Amino acid sequence: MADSNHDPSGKRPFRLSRRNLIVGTGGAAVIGGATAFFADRFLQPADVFIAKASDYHVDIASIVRHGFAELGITRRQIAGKSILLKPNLVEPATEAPHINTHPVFIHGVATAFLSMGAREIIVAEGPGHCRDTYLVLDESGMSAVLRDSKMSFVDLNHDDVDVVANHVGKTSLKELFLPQTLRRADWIVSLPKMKTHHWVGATLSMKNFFGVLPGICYGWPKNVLHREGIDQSIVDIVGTVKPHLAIVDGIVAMEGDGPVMGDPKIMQTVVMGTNLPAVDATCCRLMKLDPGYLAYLSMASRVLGPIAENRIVQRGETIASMAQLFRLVDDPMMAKFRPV
Amino acid sequence: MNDLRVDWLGQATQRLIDIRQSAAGWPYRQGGVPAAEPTAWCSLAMLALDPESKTSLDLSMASAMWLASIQRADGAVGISATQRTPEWPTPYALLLWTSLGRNTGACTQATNWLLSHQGIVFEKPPGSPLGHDTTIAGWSWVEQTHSWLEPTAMAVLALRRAGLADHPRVREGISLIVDRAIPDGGWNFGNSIAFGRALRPKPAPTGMALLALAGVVEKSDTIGRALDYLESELPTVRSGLSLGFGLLGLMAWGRRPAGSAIWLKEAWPAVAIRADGALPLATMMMATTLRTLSLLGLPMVSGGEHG
Repeated sequence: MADSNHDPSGKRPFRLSRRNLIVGTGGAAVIGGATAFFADRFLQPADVFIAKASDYHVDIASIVRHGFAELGITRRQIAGKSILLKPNLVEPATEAPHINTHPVFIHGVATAFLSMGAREIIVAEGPGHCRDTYLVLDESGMSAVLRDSKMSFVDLNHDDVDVVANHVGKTSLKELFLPQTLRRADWIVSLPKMKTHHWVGATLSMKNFFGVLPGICYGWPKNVLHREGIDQSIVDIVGTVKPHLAIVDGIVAMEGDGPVMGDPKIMQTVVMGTNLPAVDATCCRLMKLDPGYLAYLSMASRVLGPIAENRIVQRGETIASMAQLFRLVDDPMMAKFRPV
Repeated sequence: MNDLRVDWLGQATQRLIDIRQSAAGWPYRQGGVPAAEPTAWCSLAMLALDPESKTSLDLSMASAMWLASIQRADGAVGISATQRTPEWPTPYALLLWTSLGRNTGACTQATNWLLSHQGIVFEKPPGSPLGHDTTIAGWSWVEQTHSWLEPTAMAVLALRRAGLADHPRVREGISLIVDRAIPDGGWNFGNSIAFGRALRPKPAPTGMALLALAGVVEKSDTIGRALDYLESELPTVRSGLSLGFGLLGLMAWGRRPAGSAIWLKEAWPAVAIRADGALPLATMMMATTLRTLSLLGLPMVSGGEHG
């Protein structure tokens, strides 16, 4: 894929530069152009698209295609490309489907990419707690969707790994172990669930990338990242993996004791953007959280992309028309995320 | 309780062999690099299923030798030949070596490594949202992190198999497992209660915990509730790893639901076509035979089928 593609619609060009970012085999991956990448992301304002989706019966593929158009993403940029969808499939829980990105949502996104000429869709996840990834697929309903679709699935927790230099350095980790499947993809797309999170305030498109780090290297849970600081780890991982797009499942979201024990929140929202900090900051505003109080977003705003409202171009629905108050878990620690 | 009569074991054995191909050990995914955990676990499954066959013995011996070849000088066994950390696969290698009665030097080194390493312990600050006792030491997935259920259960199993059931570290590991039980039954991946709410039990960690505790703790309410949880949950579980460990946990306490063979048969087709099916397949195979218990050094408990 070319480093820069101009959209005939005249919207700001969407930049992709993955192929020159991760190169190499046998455990020696080299990241190039990192400085330019950060400078781009930090300096440019970002577009974020907000759509209304009443439930999982709506035509999600159409909403996503609308989002592509709003964000200046063209067929030329997608046709023939390998698309890796990274949903948030944390735990098996038939009794609590709002824990995980809804399989219908994932299918809708895949359909949108395929309709734009994508060569293949890889759904890839390394659940954070459960060693039995296929139990998560079964109980989330994802197995059934995979059986009847053109998507393949890779369990990132047990993938062969590359050793990649950590190009952000908010943690003390000099290198990150990344699954080799990431190298197969031209596009890496975060498909998180919109959820509150009892340690970091909210888990959205950036926190979702904890799930690309293989459990065989980091454990279940990926406790190394907790030791290094969850906020710092989020920024390091996103800055090293360099995902291209986020599409947030906020149709039925989660409030309260997220990321796994919270309650469903009917939000009826899809949020999309190519700049993940901007997407997550917008989600926070939709959840009535100030993104500046989330440490990882505050850090990310200095190296990965904007979170300030005046540097994000909101497209589609307005925040004011869609925002709802998300309850946080009842614990004094939560005051830092929503000071009185 | 007898071995389960199932008709897919021959195909399953062949499938395991196919996944390994001519490599030195089993990979997580067919075509990938050999890795310590699947190599040890699949070898144990082959030995459990058919301990006398030349194929089982040849593959298991080769696995044991390969594991010894990648053992670090300090006794730990990492993920693979090139991925030398983290060290959580060490108990898997130790289980295979002790089961074969070979590689005594490697066993001693691995045992010493396990006994000299533990997960981080700490005193909870006032108002901590964590419900479990953070001062009990078990084993972690990765060095310098907290102890979690699964690595602790496997370390306890391996050290018991190595004859150290009464070692203080093993006793403490058992205490950790008991402490992490969820009040209503079963085990989650590590925590029991967080932010005032009990976490949800899961079949695989519950099965592992029951394996590790079999024969070393009395059948308490904690055990009874965990067994009841598995018997209520497994009828709907068809994912091989969870179903296999769940049945193993029940088997270790003399319980064998009447539907076990049917559930395994229903789980088999999906696992059979997976490139990354080695671990679940091995676990399902082990769940069919009582020889697994003796292979893991666990006592036979009288019991029977019920459902």
